[in-house]
Amino acid sequence: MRRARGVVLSALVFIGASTNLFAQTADVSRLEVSAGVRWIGPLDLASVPANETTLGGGHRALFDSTTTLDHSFGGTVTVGVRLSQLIRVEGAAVYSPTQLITRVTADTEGAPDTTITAPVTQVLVEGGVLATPPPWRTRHVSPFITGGIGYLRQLNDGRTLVETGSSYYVGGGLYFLRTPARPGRLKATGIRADVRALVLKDGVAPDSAWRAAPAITATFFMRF
Amino acid sequence: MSWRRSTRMKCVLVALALACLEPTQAFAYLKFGYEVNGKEYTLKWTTTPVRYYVTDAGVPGVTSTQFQFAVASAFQTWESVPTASIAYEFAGFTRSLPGEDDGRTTLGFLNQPDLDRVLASTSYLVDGESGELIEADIFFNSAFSWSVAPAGERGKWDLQSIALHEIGHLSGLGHSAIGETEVAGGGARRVLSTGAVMFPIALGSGDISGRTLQPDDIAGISDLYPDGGFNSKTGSVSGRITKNGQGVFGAHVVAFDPKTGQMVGNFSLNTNGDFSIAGLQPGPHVLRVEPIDDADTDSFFEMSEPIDLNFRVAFHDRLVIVPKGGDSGAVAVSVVPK
Repeated sequence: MRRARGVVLSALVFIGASTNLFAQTADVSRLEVSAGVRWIGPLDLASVPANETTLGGGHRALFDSTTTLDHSFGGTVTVGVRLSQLIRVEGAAVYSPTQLITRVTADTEGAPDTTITAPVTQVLVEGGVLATPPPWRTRHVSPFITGGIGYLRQLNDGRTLVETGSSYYVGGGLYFLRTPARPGRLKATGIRADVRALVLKDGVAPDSAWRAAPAITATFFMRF
Repeated sequence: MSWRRSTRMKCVLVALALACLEPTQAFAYLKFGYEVNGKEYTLKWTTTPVRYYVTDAGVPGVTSTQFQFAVASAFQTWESVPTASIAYEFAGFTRSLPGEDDGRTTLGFLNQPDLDRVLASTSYLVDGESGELIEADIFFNSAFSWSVAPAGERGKWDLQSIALHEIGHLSGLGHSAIGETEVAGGGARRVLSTGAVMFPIALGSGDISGRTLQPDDIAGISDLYPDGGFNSKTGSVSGRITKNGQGVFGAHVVAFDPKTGQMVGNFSLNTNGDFSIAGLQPGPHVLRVEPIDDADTDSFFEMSEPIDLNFRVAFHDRLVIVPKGGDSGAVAVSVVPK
């Protein structure tokens, strides 16, 4: 019983402290510009056997294939506009070269297992909402949650083929803020890092299923 | 196992060159070409619908009417390929037999017990002056037992399946090498699996899976008789197969779509090792190269140069991107001797 009371008390103190900190960390900037890098995890695309027909209508695989979109490491630029102390809207462009990887195995005529690749240039144009609940902020750290949608464009090797699709994301991260002693037009700078679940649809995928990959973004930002 | 006999051309009017059924170069799939008066032709119908007659004679278990119904279904299967413009028309029953040079495309039974591995065969009649295809006859060997049962019959060959293969020849297609065999007793080959109706050896009696066209067949007929957007919606892969720096003649090249599992094949048809595969869905493809070791090489083509069988099965180490309405650009694939 005493322990329960302690928990309630601690929570109240935390909320009170946060509210107090918010008073000290109000965001006075309007515009945020950031640039940095994004890592996108690999996507499993398809496991498709090279099936032939057997007597009676069955199937026999000449070989098996598994295709993935390799992880990528690319650049990103974001522009955000603060709508309130809680909400910021933003748009981002991500350029991330990667490659399609098809692994062929179990060839019935003895061809060695082979990894076959082709470069893919991937561009994402995203728009989303970012929420930084004031109670969570401190002077130097500002947690946030974010979500949005995007347009996916994937260019195959030599741009011989363009595939388009869509993306969706949800995640969260932290701003590490540094405020100038005498803020002028530049209200703050710092590092922003987030982790998100990125869901891609269509593009180079064989079907319109939704496929999720983790993504980590780290950028340097400036607020004006 | 019984073999479907390769196409054979009958020459009329003026003697044609003996090499009249060589495969044409730089085309997708295996199509036939011939030379008349020094001019090269691709074997195909220039006017459609192709009118055909059916010999008014049945065999035990298959009446002439049942025969006509089965072959009509097979014709309809080819005609239903949405990316091909070929069309056929049943002109009626006839007392003529297939193989008679009467200007009528005729399908029917013939008793050929000496051809103990030939289920059916297609022959052509070409105008030796104009190079025009006049007639293509198909005989079904009544020395075998035939069936038109919807679900097939054990121990009997499915007429519709075999007709589908032969009508592919009648339309101008050669054999496909997408299939696997093993050598059985007596030197005959047993088919393990096929990836094309146009594979030269039938799967087995009682089997009806040969009533359905495969992507390789569809690419072939569409390449011969392209409809509307076929050429703009599909693409091709071309390139060269080499061994120790020299071109490989007669290599079987298969383009595999890792999205769909579809396979379309062709051969390197000159001593430079050049190949071309058309009718492919746009997107990445895996290229697999193998020697022609699942049927006799003369099942596919008759060439003056020896077919190179001395190399190992190999995959190209890059995915080849097939553009929509275009070609991949030259792809170089090297293989190593066995």
